[in-house]
Amino acid sequence: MARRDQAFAAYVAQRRPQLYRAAVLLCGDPHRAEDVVQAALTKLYVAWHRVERADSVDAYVRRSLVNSHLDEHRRPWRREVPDSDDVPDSSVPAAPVEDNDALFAALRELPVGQRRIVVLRHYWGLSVEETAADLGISAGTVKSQTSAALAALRTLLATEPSEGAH
Amino acid sequence: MDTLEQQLHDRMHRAGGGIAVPATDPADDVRRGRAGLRRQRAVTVGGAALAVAAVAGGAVSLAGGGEDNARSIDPATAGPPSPSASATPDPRPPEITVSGDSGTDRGFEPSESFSFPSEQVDEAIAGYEAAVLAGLDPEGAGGGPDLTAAARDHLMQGDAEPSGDGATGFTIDPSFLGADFVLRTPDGRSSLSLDVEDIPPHQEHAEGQPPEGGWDDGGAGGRVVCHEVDLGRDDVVKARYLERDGQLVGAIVDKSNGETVSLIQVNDIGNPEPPLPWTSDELFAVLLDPALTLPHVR
Repeated sequence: MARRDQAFAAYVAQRRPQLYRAAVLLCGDPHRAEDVVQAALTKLYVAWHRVERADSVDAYVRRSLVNSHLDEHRRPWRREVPDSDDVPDSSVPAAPVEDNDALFAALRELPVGQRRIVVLRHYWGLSVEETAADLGISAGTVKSQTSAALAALRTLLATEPSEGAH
Repeated sequence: MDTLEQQLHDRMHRAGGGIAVPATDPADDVRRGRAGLRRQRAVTVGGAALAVAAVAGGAVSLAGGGEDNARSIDPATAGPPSPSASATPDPRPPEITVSGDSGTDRGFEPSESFSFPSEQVDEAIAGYEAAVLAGLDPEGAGGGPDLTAAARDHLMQGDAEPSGDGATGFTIDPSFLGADFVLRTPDGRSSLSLDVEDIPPHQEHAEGQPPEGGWDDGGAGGRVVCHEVDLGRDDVVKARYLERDGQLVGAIVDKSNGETVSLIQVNDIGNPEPPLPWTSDELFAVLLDPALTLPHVR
């Protein structure tokens, strides 16, 4: 196996679960999430030497993931229903557990830009500045969109029974 | 981080941790990566001349080149090279550069580059927003653009390009600009995606154009059907409006200058939105607004 393959495979083995979970939060759908992760990792493989040399693998794959999600989002014909011969991978799990359904539903209600900011900031744990750099927007925009997203989530989750417990 | 943010943070992590991760073999990702590399090399050979022509034909001047013309935002103004690094916003406006790369497999080798200021991109996006809002929301009753920067996000395809000093940039496609809009109508919100593209021939059938006859929309359910109409204009090659279950959900215009402009409703999985409250003629009028063109075509 080539050195690129070995290093890439090691990275994938370590990071894929986190990427997949972030993708599910972005997409709200396990099958699309898997597609998005595969697309991001394919881009990463192609660019591996360059990004590894720059020590920017995490930042690169995070951006690729977000942009792959955006590509999926923007071109509706890419979401064609598969033919019956194109059976989804049975290893992909069913929808997320019921306890989290309200949060997933609320995330899906957010405009896609706000959802990406929420996932980057509150799942990936990036700072305002890091999020702004990833998305190519200003820190002020990140702050305002975070605020708008939180307000929307507060409303959307207000009727959810378990909300008071947190 | 205030209390609400902390609650969301904790809840996101609980939700994320509860997601079952499918068992996958990293070798499958390696295999897909190799296929991607092969595709990219094939496209590079076939598309390099087109890419140079598309960009050089605009407000840019060519100062260097190579076999593979990757496009990137100036690394000096890009984000931090790793998540752990702190980022200080650079007061200088970012600059879109097109640089020569001697081949992705051999790594990035900085060479002379040419650029045009990102103000042109910002100006174009602002023009798009004004045109769409003037055409579809003249009273200003809607929510306006969702996030102006969504268009810029869409430019960035995520390919980091290390420069000599190890900084990171983004590969972008200057022949593809878009903006997202969320307009609130009396019967609910309408999320619209606007794209202005100069679709390279090698992408036209793969992903650039919708399938002739329509497609099954896995997001909203139902079948989207393309209806071609003759607008009787010399500057239009093809005009189509899209219906899902007989309800208008978008329109696409292929212009004689090679650009394709589309305005299509966006639905998330399981979250269909109400049909658009405009007519196809109103959508076509917006799509043919002179502002909806790429910066290098202006």
